[in-house]
Amino acid sequence: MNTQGKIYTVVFMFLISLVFVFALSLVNSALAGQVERNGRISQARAILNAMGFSYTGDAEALTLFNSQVAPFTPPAGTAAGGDVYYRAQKNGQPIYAAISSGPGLWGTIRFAVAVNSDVTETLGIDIISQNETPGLGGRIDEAWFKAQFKGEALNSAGRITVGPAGTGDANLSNGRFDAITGASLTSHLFDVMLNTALARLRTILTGAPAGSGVPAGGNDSGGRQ
Amino acid sequence: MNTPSFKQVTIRNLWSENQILIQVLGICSTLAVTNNLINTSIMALGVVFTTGFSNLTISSIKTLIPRKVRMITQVLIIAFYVIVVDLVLRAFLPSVSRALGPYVGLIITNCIIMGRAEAFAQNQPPLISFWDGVTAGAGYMAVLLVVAFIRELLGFGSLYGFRVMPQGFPTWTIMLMAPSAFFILGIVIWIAKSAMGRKKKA
Repeated sequence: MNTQGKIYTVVFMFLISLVFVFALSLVNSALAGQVERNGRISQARAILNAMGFSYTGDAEALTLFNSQVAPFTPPAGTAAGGDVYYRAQKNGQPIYAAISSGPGLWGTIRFAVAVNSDVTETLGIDIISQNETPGLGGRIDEAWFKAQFKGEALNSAGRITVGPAGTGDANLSNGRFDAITGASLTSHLFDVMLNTALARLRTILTGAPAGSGVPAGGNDSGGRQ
Repeated sequence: MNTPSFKQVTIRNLWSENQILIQVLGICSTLAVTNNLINTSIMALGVVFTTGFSNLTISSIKTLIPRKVRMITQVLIIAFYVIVVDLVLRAFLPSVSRALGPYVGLIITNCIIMGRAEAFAQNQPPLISFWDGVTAGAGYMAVLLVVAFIRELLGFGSLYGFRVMPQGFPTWTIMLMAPSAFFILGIVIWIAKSAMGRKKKA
């Protein structure tokens, strides 16, 4: 058989592509259920983490999510910008979370952010998916970075802004978070997407127009540390 | 072409013709992922798996591959194994998959895999080709782990995420950034080549 002929080459390429694509589709089908389940768990865990619920494993996280958290539909006419909202009760108070996303350095960053009902503080954030540089921008998924948003009061402009690189801003009343060392672009892009999500939440939950700050007396956090 | 023994292949790939120390291949990922040991280990294991099995597959069908499309066939086979690695990580180690982000997919562009396919598997029997791929990947892994050990220790004060340096240890920011991998790798290559030179003289 002439393995260098044109017809052989075309037939070979067709067959080898068919074989490997078929094999890949088999592997994909076998694992698709697990990947999809991981996606659901990841999203549920992110919302629970942002809202400050604690759980021990995936099964408990799903049960807790299904029993405590409900989808929340924004009032007609408010621009959600593709964000998805959830509502829960914690210590007798309603709390809200948004699943939002924005462009990172290399791809889309999807995250959950939870706020109190008057959107004067963030209760927490969690990252659902990101494609930032591992070890640099990818560190937005590390505990120290996310801990900066647990109970952080928004500043008078209704924002939480990025500061210089550090190891985690412990001051919960300054409306600021530390950037990641060596990943200033990712940190600034996260600032933009977080504040966009917060502005939408404020419009939806308080009726305040986009761009307005925190209502007077709304962020009276008393210098908590 | 003569078929080398398993021992010759092992020594060559781990030391005397190490893909990074001597051939200076796979440098992009060496710079990118080596600021922590967990990401480095998973990435390097992915390369070991992909290099081994792509070599095995290419060697097994080498007589059927037309010369003019051999490289595109190699890329197809390498891409297949890389996507399998990516799917397995997403299914069973989602947190690692998230931490590595786009780098798993970029294993496809690792020159070592293509280099071993073209230089070895295309001309040698399947079993020794598989071993060549595994040991070439292991040689790559060994160098990456040395670089990652230094970078994580000095950059974060930890190893595999566990803090080992005292609390007051001032971490070296430069170690977290890609340029540090340049000079650490340069020092590692310098030390390794000096040791090789001494052995030759002796």
